[in-house]
Amino acid sequence: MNLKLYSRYRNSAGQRVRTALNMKGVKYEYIAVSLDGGTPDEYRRDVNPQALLPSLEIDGEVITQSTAQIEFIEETFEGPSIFPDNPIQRARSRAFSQGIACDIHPVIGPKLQRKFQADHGFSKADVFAWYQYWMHHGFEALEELLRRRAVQTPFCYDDKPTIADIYLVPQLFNARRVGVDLSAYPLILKIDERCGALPAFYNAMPQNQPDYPGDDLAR
Amino acid sequence: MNLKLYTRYRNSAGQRVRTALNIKGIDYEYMSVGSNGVISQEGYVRDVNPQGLIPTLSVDGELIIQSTALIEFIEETFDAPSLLPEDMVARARSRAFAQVIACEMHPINVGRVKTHLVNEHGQSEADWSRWYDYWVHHGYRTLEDMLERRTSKTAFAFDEKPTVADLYLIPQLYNARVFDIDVSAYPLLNEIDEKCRALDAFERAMPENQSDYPGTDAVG
Repeated sequence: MNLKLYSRYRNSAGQRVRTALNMKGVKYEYIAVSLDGGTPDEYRRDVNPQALLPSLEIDGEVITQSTAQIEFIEETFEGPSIFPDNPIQRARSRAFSQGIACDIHPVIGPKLQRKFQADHGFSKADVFAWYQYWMHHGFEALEELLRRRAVQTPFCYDDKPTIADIYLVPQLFNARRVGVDLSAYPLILKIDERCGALPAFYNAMPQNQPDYPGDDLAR
Repeated sequence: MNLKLYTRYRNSAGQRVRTALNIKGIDYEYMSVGSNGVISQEGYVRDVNPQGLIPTLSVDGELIIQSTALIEFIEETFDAPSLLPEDMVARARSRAFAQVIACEMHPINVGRVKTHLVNEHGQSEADWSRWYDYWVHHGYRTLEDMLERRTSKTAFAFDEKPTVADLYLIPQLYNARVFDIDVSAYPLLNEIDEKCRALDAFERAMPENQSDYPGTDAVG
């Protein structure tokens, strides 16, 4: 099976998929899509008309949406499962990931930020306030979900990282880059630290992608 | 297995889950949340979900949240009919279509976002309408385009039977009707909506067929 992942070093949904592929030990071709100067026309025309990242191309068939890609990866490849075995824990791990994919990421993403500035009179400070509010709103809920676990496992919902952890780590990278104070989320930070020590996570980080420009902070 | 679904008649994420349970033929207790419900919002926040969001599924007393997690749980736990296509690429496309609704349409246009935009960022009702229209049509265009690009045009979104894509689409289109959004530019979506609503599993999950439906669904 030939796999190509269209992504970008700093593409948090893509980082989830990179991590999942790394955990499964699946080789893929990393195709960096530069967004400097807008989405390239050929990406929009030939790969993803919505122009969002990431896209996963499987023997020429393109699939979009990181959650769909990760479920596909889990169902297709052998190797360690990226879900807990217990059905309730599986549901909780998925729910945690959706708390990021539905309740945090879409509300603070660059698409919305651009729209606010272009059409709703937001200043940069307004955008930052918006970002901070929703990030904290979401992270408080996630920390609470972790606090309520009957068993405090080393990773979110298992003794190994599962889909919850895969979604958490890129969102934290994003929050740090923007300068959000994360000190109110000790359980989240502890899990982030454990994940960061694992090659599957480390190798998926923005700074370890071939298109990483070296200094991200000014961008 | 004892199942209780905390939802409300108009709760599009809950409607997805009701439809999934109906397709599987699973009995569950409908726990309406709110002033006319069997549990008040305050009681729900205190005892069920501190975030206050619906739906929540109670499985023998264990609470799980987030409709996508609930539907995958239902798919994995209960026997056929499956809520996913068999073909691996079609499965991924059905899930991706559902996620466009769950991640790119629904969260941007919900009430809590409106409240925050109006109260904290001085946006007017007219600003909100502009925002809502832009994102809802942006989403519907994406969905229609995903259907247009199918190599084989199936009876439902990505299969000859309804799958997760259809489960997410029907509540979203119900919202469009309630909020008076013109969806005439999306013929493929409308065609699937009509086919799904003719099915008992979808019909029984509709807002007007829930026990807490107040008789008319005014925008509010």
